[in-house]
Amino acid sequence: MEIRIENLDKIYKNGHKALTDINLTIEDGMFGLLGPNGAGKSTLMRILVTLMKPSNGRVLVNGMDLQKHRKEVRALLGYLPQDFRFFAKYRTWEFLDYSARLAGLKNRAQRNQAVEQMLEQVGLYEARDRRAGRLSGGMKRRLGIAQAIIGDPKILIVDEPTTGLDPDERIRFRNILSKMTEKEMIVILSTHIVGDISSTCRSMALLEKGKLVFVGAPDELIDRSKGHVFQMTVSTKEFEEIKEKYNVISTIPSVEGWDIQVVAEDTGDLPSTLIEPNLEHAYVYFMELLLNKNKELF
Amino acid sequence: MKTIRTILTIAWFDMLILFRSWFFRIFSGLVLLFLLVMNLAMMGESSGNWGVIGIASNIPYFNILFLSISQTFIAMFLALDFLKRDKKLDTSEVIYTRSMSNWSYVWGKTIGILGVFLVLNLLVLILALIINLVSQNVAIDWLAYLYYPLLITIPSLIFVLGLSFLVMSLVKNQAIALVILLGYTGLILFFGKAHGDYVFDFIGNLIPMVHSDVTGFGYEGRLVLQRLIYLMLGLSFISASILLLKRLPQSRVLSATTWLMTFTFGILAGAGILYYTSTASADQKYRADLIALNDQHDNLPVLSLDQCDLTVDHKGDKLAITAAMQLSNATLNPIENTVLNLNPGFKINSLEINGAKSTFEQKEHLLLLKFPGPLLPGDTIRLQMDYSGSVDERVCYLDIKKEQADEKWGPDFIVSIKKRFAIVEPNYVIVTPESAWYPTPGVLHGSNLSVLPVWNFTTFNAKVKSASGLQPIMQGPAEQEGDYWRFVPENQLTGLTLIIGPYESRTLNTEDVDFELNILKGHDYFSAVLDSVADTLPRFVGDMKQDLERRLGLSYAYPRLRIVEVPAQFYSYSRLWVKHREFVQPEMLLVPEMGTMLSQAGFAQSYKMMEKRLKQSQESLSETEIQLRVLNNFLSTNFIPGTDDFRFRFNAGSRSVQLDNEKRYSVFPHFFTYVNYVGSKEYPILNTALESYISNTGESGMMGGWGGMGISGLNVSEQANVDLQKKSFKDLLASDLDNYNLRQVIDAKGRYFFTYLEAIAGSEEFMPFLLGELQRNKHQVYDYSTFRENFLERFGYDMDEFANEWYSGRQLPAFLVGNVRVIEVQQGDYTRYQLLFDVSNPSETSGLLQITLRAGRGGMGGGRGGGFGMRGGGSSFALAGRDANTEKFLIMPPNEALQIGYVLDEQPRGMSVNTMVSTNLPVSVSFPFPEVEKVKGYTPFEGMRPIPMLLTMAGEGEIVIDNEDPGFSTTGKAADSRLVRWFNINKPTDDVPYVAMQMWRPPQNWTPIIQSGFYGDFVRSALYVKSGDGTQVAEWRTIIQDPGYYEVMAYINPMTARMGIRMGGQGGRGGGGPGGGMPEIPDEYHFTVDHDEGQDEVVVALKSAETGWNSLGSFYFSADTSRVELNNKNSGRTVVADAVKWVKQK
Repeated sequence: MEIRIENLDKIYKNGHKALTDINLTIEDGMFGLLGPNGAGKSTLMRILVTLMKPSNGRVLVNGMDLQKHRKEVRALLGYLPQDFRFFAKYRTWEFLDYSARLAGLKNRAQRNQAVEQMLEQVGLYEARDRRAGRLSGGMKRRLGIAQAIIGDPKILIVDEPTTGLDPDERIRFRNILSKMTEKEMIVILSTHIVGDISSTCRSMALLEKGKLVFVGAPDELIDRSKGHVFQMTVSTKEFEEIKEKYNVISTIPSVEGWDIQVVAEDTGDLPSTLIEPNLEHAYVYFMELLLNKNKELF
Repeated sequence: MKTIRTILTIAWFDMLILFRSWFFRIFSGLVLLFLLVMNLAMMGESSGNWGVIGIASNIPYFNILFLSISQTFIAMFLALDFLKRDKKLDTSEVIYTRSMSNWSYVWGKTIGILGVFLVLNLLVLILALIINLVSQNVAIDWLAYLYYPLLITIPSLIFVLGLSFLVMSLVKNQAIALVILLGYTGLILFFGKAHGDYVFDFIGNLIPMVHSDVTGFGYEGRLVLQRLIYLMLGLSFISASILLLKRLPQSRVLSATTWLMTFTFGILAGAGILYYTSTASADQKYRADLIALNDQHDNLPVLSLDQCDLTVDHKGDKLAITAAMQLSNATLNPIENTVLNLNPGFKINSLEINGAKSTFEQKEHLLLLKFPGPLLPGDTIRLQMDYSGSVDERVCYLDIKKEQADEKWGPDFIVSIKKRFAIVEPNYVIVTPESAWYPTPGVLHGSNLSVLPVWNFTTFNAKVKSASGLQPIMQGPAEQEGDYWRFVPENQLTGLTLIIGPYESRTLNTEDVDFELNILKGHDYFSAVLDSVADTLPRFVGDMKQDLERRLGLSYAYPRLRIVEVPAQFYSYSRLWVKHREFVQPEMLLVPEMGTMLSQAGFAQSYKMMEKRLKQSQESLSETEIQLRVLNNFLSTNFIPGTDDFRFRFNAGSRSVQLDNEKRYSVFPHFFTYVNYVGSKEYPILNTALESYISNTGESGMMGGWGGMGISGLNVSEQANVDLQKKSFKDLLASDLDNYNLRQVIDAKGRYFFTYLEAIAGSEEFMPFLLGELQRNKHQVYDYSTFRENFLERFGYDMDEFANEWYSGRQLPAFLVGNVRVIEVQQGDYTRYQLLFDVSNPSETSGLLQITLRAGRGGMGGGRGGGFGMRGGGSSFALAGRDANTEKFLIMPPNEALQIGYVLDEQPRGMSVNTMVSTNLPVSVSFPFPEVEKVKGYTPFEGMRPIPMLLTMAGEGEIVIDNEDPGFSTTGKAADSRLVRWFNINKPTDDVPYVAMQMWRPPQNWTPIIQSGFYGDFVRSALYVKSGDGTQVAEWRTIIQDPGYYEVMAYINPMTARMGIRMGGQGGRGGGGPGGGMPEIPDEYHFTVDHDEGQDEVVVALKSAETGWNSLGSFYFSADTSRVELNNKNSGRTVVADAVKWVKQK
């Protein structure tokens, strides 16, 4: 599987430029699309799932142009939109059955099997006869992913799937997703929660204001921030000053005042300890420092 | 294959949602419950509505149509809701990203909604079918359970869904879309009516769809086209909404197909609409052209058709006819050109006059003939014509306006029947004289009544051949002659009718008339129910006929009566100038299929009902007696003139035409209309006038009383008088007055003319004379001049001057009746009673008064406060003779005043005076006789003696200001509510100057009403208003010339004021105390009298008020203007302002 995005622009009718000159190749495995709210993630997703036309450029799926081969591409897709609710009148299994049918599972026995499997896989077997309207938020999200992956899609596109979930559900959800990567398929996960990506994605892209600012492995991003993440212990007064000057990404109250982590080119005279960055640090470093510094580049 | 699977998947899952929606479930439950009740009632054992279920296919028709109307709204709502829901949630995006075409998606949705409604339709059909199956005496039409859903449900649902999708796709707001759709539907439902020949009727609730066993729907082509138009519009709209769907398309082929479908169906529907409406308007134009042709040629001299021999071959949907006719010149002038009419659907193959080929000009239905030489008066010609073709129904009822033609025809509010006037089909033929299927002299109906159709009495002789198995039916005895059936009627007839169909007949011979029942094969639903009347039937029917003859004073004119069942669609309108409809033909009655439009035709139901009633009243009757009662109810309600013959008229304000409610199948024409004809060149309406007189006298005169009792403030005669004040009778006939009002004028004038003659001749003499003349002139034209001469010879009166004044005069008489006294007179051992009253006629024309006396305790005015609603306005007597003790006529010459005296054996309780055609309102005024005077040595007086001309009822020294006088005024005009203004209900207009009193919704303004119980010299009227805070004020104002003490009195009729019902007799009211049943509301009127010492408020409690003048007190007035006011402050519902008088105190 390969998705190639070439010179993609999206300009809305009101003139807002949502995407500018996106070039990206996505291969099998989990791909994370990270960016702040309003960066254009959803727009890109909606173009990829054929809900929207790009203004310029093209998307090739296994070499097929998305605009010309919607039928074929749609047949490969599984999609879980950001704000997914259900027709409250369907039972859990009915909705999966509906999705399975639309995904092309003709054979009733096969379909029933697939539905049961799916119910078990997402942990909804007990709730199979429950009306969708009576599921909890996490269950609904799991049903959402179930309908997206039933029928074995080759491309799974998941938009902000963990927003609003409690930590247990979030972990559960990530596990379901990572299981997907065992198959030969592309999973595109769009999120503004860095944790979603760090735990699962082999490669990722960073979107900012409609532009692609980074493409590569999460480690690569982390590498770039090495030597720029510091830990220090400061008093409340100092903390107020530091907040003005640096990007503080974590604060924990301590006996002397505060234990804080800061992302910066350097901390100057301040006593600080360099620490090993994680993806979150890398993201902040990249977005806040690198991009601001090279503003003229973008 | 995949497309279909996808569609079905989407449809199935949508259906699931809909079935689970409570909105849909509640709606379905209610509909099913309602239809269950309706079906049980309709097919119930003793309560059934035979009019609907007589034709078995009406059962699915009724059910499906009712469901369709209601489901339209639900389908719209669901369709909109669906699209809205899809738009709002990302749920639909999950579906949108699936690999399927937009085509599949929208069609899946459509079929989903369609599916749930089809299931509901199926349930309704099953419900109806089950009740149909278990109901006894109700047939089942299996096929109808299929074709009604196809004709009604499918096109309307697809259209509604398509329209809803499209509107929603375009306006993108559910609330606005719903308003648009509901507005459109409401508009069509309530105002669509038959506009454009039902082209707007997308539900199918107006377009007639009753299915006859013989002739189907009667117009399959147009009906199917109309339904197809909506099916195609729906398909086009659905396709368009596929194109408008906010989802990127994925299949070029299907996108192209969708474009193609949108346009193809759109264009097909458009072409269908264009064709459909253009043919309808072409038909209208054609009819207008025919009328113009008639008007253009109506001055041509017309021959009389003396004899007509017809040979008819019925083949397929054509008739081939040879007509050999003898025509004569019955006019006084030689004739060179003449005109005949023949249905333009026929092609004339040859035409010979006196054996020689003749040239002719055919202009549509008119045949213009030019004779080589003049045809002298009395001369005859023989005309032979070969023609063939079918009948064009457009020539029928040219005089009937479109609004009337568009009125719904059907047994209930749902089911409606296509009106057809002639049918020529391979398996059925019905042609009546209206369709001009054989040539007759003259033109058809012109644009107004100045062109009345010519009445011929013709000797007919006909031969008919048709396909095997079909039975021809015509007038005269039927004899088989080789392949032909020959019919030779014994009498000259006004027209000939041909019916051919799969008939079986049975005959009932009575003493002098053979009754022959011809029913369509398989339609005998009654024999099993009426199985034990066979032996008694001849006597029973014979008695019935004799009763009727006795009542009418006329005899049945034919040796037989053929009752022929005709397809449900056969229809005929009533006419202004005759009391017959084409349902009734000489010696024939054309009754509708399975009795569907007859009352009491569900014999099994009637039987059960009667049984039940008898059980309740613990009466016991034999089987035969019950059956005879059932039969009697059926025959008398449908065919016997004068029983249950109500004419209702809804909403007088809109002047709708409601002639249709007259008894359609009355056999009256068999006694008069088809038998006698008074021809008059000078007064062409005279025959109609005579018919009105005769039918009214025979029909117990209820119409005069009931006709106007609806919403209108004036009854029919009064309305006629209002119309006659504007134009002469002759001019009204040529005016554009609507048919209903014109009919009232004709009836009123007709009764007046002959009652006038009756008054001159005396009732005992006139009736036998008139009936004798009619008897002697049966089956021929009886000329007015002969009648005039005979009347002159017998009674010494030349009616011509009167007739001329009656027809062309503009003046109406006006009568003042008053000073009524009853004096007890002792003559030896006898007590007799002198009745005295004064009448004056200050007008320039003579007039007629009809005086009805009520003696003893009886009479309609007795009992509780005066017989509500029953106005003794009409003349209730039979032709067999009027009772001279209770009915008196009085001819009042112009400019004369008379005192009238009658000496009576019994004490009279009351008198009602009917001023007939006059300016008086109301037409009938009641005078109660509360007191009998005892005068010693009084010399009774019988007859009339002149008195000084009376111009007012006011006594000497009295000043009376009535509400009609200039001294009366009202103030405080409040605006009507917006609703009242919009609908303009019950407001007086120039044409209808008085309204009916409405207690439930009295007017905000002073509004004029008339009533016998009000004060008035010529017009007994008053004004009334809704009670309120006293801001509405009526004022009476006069100038006192002679200063002094005056008693001020107000005229009050407490009964009317409190009950608001027009009453005829108040004879039973005695001294004016409250009658029974009056509500105990403390009604009080607040009068204010301005006098020299100031202003006094006088409160009059209605409860204790006298009927008539009530004193407000005595006051001193100097020579100045004096005012009395009445305001609308009252605890009762209304306040009535009538008259006030000032009586000088001695």
